[in-house]
Amino acid sequence: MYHILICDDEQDIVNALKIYLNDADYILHEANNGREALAILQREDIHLVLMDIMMPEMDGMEAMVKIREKSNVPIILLTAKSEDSDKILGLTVGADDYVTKPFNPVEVSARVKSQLRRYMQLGGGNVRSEILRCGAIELDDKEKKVLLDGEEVSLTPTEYEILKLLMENQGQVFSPSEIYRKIWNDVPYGSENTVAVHIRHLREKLEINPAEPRYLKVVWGQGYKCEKSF
Amino acid sequence: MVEVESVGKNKSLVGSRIAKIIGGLLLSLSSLVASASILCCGFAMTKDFYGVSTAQSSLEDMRLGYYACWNAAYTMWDYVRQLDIEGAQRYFSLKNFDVNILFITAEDAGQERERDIIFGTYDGSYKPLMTQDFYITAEEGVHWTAEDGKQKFIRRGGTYIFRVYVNAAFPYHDGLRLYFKLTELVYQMRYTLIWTAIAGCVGTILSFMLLMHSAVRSNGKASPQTEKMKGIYLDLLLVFFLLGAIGILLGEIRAITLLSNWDIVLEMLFAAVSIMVLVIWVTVFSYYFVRGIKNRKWWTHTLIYMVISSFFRLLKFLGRNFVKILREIPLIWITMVSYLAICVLEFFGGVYFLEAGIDMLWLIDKLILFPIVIYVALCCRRFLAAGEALAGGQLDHTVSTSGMIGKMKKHGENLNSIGQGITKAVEERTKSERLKTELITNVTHDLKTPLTSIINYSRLLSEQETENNEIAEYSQVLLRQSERLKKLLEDLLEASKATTGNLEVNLVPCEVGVILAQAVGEYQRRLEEKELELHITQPEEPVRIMADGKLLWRAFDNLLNNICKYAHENSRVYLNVEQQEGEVRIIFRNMSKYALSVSAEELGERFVRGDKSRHMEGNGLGLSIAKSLLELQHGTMQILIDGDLFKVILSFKQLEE
Repeated sequence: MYHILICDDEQDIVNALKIYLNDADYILHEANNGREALAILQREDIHLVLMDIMMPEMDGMEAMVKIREKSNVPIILLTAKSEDSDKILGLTVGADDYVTKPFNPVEVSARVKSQLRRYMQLGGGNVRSEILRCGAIELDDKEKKVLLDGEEVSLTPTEYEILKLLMENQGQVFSPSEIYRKIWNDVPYGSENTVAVHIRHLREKLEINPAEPRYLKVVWGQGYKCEKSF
Repeated sequence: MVEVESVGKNKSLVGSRIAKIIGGLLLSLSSLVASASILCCGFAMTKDFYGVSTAQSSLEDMRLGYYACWNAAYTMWDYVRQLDIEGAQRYFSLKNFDVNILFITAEDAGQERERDIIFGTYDGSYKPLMTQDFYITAEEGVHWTAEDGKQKFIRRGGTYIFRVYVNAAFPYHDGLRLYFKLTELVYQMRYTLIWTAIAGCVGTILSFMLLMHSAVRSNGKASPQTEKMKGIYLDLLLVFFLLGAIGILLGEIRAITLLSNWDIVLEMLFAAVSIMVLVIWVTVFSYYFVRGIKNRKWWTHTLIYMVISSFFRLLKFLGRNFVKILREIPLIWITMVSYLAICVLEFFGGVYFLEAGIDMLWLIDKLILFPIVIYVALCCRRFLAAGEALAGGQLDHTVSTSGMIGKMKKHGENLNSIGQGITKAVEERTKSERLKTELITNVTHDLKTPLTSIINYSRLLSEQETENNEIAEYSQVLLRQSERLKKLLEDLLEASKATTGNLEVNLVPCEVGVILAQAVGEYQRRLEEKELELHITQPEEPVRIMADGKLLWRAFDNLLNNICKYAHENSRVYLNVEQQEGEVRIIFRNMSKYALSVSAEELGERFVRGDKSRHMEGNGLGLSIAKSLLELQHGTMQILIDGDLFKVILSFKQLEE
């Protein structure tokens, strides 16, 4: 049983979210501003917070700062502010994820699930050296297995190799031709598209929103990389 | 006139016209009487008629006719000298006096003898009133034969007595007779004259005072005469008066010299009249003077004061308006006039001084001109610098107008205000652009919240299991349209940010091949879904450009999206990368699904779509956004339409290795 706090000043959005997150495992709490959210957080043992930024009385940012003083409960920001700067600010201040309005409810519930799993099951972080990890992605080279939020994801051998290359060199940017050379052991001649297509597939399998990847990032005009910060 | 009189009567009797006339007549009369009396008294005193002097005085002994006699003696000598004996006899026969020329010898000097008379008109027919002797030394000798045949002569250098006899009977009317008669009269009236003189003086003074009083009195404020009087300037009046007085005096002197010496009667009469005229003159002057100074300070009503004050007023006016007038003269005229003046000066300097071998003037001229020329040049340099700064976009550049004058200063100030004006305009424009973007951002944010609910609930609605197909269909429409609205909002925000340049741009070297591969990788599936065959050609060598990968991807995203939406199914799509003279061109080509009913230029505009029917998905912002994004990265985007062939060319500067 997970206690989830939904905090938004729009009651309609709260209600919609409640419908989408209607799951036997979830106990939903609702608040209409930051102050109420803090009160509930004090009262209840909350496992995840879905929070809007622009709210009356106390806005999401302020509330998040207050929460972060005491707790590392996962916070997903749910906001109309779609600027890159807003996202960066939100994530820096302490958000675990950032969803812009108008959101896809399915995506939101997937992210909720992902955050809960990481927080509840993998929070311990008992790192085994043979396991490569990038955020929610775990790559067990011994068993040739890839886990996303602890659940196995099936990848083709090429995809697996590409992911392994990127995860072994987190933060490093590989150009399509480099990847091709390393994986296919061949001279890339007009075959960069193949790499791009594979990466796209990888993202589709591993990212909740492939257009806005969190782990497997596209460096446009240069190549691909696995985000190091996770 | 009636008014004047009535005013005079109402005011006082002395102010009336009649009083003035009477006063004037009285004045003339009394002044004449006074002057004549005083003159006669003076005359009597010189003759000692009052017996003040101890010397014996008698009518015979007065030596009154001395000058007349002297005149007679010399007239005689003139006749004799010219040997006009008959003329002399004729002349003296009509006079009240006669002259005898007597010879003097050493032994009988003072003795009068008949034989000693050389020539004479006195024949002893009357007893003379008096005789007067004149000793005349002859400068030349003359001799003539008398009627009786005797030889008469006057020796050169000899002294002769010219004895003048005055006929006491005065048979002829002439000045002498009048003189003697008058003298007699004066003698008889010598005590009366004193009283008449005093009375005349008193009368003169009284009538003068009356006139002055009348002048002041009648000078009513409403009187038109007053207004007329104001016109006479006091100093002008004074000059007029003095000129008149001098004229009278000169006239008298002239008259006296013209009249013979013995016409003392006429002389006195004339003097008396002159004095009278002078007195009247003084009175008239005083009259107007008094009227003129009434009610005001006397110096304010003088021509000199008027002229000086007008001059000062003119100066003041000129001083006040000098700068204004100068400013109003066109620059070109000032320049031309100055130039002409310099030319004329130089010309005359040359003509008058160069001949004398003096080049100093030329040197001075050039020395004076030198700083002016340098000054103008310096000002121009400042203007030039300011103009270049302005043209170069450096709007905060200010021209230092210190030391500049006139038009130069004005020009400098204008340049400064141009800079300020442009800066202000740019600032305002930037501000308004920012406000616009902010507005769009805020509005889209505000729109997003309700839109979220719409999308969510329409999705919920569409997910509801219902047997009513219509409800299912309607909810699908709702969902689809709300998703479209969402996309439109996002694009709108994007477009506004891209066109106003409100996006952060990080230009880094990018490989065109890589981004192309990445983009194609992203779009592989969608292209396959539309059964579009992609053909890519690019140079073998990697081509690099300076771009912001993220923005370039967004542009590609828009273009590929466009292709997926509008390209004809089952057709080929060409993607070419070309290198030309340091320029990289990325060309997208596809066959349009619909006939393109708008021009290429219009397609680049916002909210314009090729079909105009707006039935399609998409909102017409894609190309516009792509174009703006390209421009932010210093690239260009060109749209070409050839029938159904839709062609987009992106151009970048190639980055050299």
